[in-house]
Amino acid sequence: MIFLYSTYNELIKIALKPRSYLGLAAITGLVGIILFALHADGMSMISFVTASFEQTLRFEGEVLNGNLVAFIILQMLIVHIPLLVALVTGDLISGEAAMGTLRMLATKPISRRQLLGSKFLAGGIYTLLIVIWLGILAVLVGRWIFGPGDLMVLNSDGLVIIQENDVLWRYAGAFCVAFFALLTISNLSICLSCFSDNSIGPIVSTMAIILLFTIIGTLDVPVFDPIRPFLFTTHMAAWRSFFEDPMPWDSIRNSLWVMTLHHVVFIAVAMISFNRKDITV
Amino acid sequence: MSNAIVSIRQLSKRFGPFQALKEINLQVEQGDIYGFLGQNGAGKSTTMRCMLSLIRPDAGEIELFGQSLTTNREAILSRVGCLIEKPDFYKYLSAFRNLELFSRISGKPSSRPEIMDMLEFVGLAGREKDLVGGFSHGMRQRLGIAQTLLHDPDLIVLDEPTTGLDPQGIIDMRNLILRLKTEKNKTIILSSHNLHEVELICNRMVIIHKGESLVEGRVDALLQEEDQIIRIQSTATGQAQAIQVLAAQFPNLNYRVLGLDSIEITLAKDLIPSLNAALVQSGIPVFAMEAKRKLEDYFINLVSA
Repeated sequence: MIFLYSTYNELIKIALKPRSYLGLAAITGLVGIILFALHADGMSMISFVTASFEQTLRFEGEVLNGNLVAFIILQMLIVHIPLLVALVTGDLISGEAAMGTLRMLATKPISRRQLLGSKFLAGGIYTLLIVIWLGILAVLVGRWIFGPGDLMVLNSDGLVIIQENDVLWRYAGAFCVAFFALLTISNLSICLSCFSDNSIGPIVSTMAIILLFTIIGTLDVPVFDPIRPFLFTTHMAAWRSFFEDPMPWDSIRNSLWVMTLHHVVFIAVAMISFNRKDITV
Repeated sequence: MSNAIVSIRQLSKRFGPFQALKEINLQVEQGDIYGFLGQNGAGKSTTMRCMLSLIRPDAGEIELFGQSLTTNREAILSRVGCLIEKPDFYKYLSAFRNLELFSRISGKPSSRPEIMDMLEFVGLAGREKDLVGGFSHGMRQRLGIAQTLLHDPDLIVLDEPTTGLDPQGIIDMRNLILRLKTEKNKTIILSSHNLHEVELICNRMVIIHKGESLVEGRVDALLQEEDQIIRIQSTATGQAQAIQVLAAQFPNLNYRVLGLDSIEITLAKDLIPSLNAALVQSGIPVFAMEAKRKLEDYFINLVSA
């Protein structure tokens, strides 16, 4: 019961902290800008992309539709959302330590595991809300403004056309995988937060780790080949697999396993560290 | 049978090369107002933090309410209210919301009327909707006390509760602590480097110095062990006469002359009535006969030994 009370407390703190709305406001602003830009000049961008196919293919219907817009938004924003997530979740322990409230919490009759567990859960719920908000803006608002239609996706294997009636469940799956990937960021930043007594450190460290892993992942150097499949950043874009045909289920499953492993490691390290932590501030 | 609420045995803690606590022993009994005395960095706060499981000790045993803190942490902490160092709250939340949050995880969630009553008890009625970020230090201290008492704990631990308060705030805090003892029969542990405060409100104390407990026991009993220092104020003539009386009737007493009209005498407590009688019988006008602050001397003698 006390775990649920503590989780409820954490959600209230997140809800009443102005910083929590930065992420939602940033997503709203960015999606608004993308929607405006595509609405104003989207067709010239589409013509540029499809120019090379126009001699062999004939496009019928509205290529620039809500489904394509949602895909473009997801593609553009999913890279930036980790920062918005870490901004709140990286502060959950270290921010309390900096404020001195961690000391007050730790003298209450709740075990440190439960206290930390409630923070992980609250961080996960916040991440889910960010993803849902992005989904609402990208898919629902995108479809409302641009209308439905078949989704045309250009990937490394060529052009994939997905029928309108086959798109929505793929978005649902893609958002679930994107949430799972962002949950890795949330758990990483909370884990780092256990090692710091200032609010900025874990946020910057999280971004530094993402940057480092991304660079290692994209550098085409054979020495990194053995570790690349195990970096969580390699699997952050697994949501894109839902827009391939046929769908690479094995690859999606593999990505989920690697990310699950990261969740377990981050939570375990945080639990051990927080349980042993001397709260001296 | 021991009535111990807190029992600490052989408690040690090291931070890197620094030995913060070295085999601390102490016992707090039901109804005590127990003082932790010591200079800054002596180990008072570290002992309290160990007692509240904020810090893991390297060695030693801590029992509260007859149970081991290691194995019964949550059950024990549900009966403890504490204010360690300065009271820190969520500055972006109101006073009411802060108390509500802490009460929810205190083992006994409080209702809205209970929180409002507590705010009134600590003198913050009408400020419940104000953000804590705008509170003065004194107001935060009061809110800290409210947070400490809200779940009606049996043991209250206060770490330097008067630090940073203005004189009126110090008096209010002192009265509040005494009320908690007399009206609610709480057991209170408080740390302080304010000797006067401890002497005024504590019945038992421990003196911690460089991580070690030097003495522990009843304040009055510990001070009985020491000779008294009393200051006698008379007139210039009276001062000269008093010196003659001391030389004639109390040749073994140490004294020193202060200014033109006073003398400071060190003597055993049971000699004070006869000294008083001798001065009066000699017709010496005595305007004041006051004990110098005892705990202060006791403490200084002890830590400088």
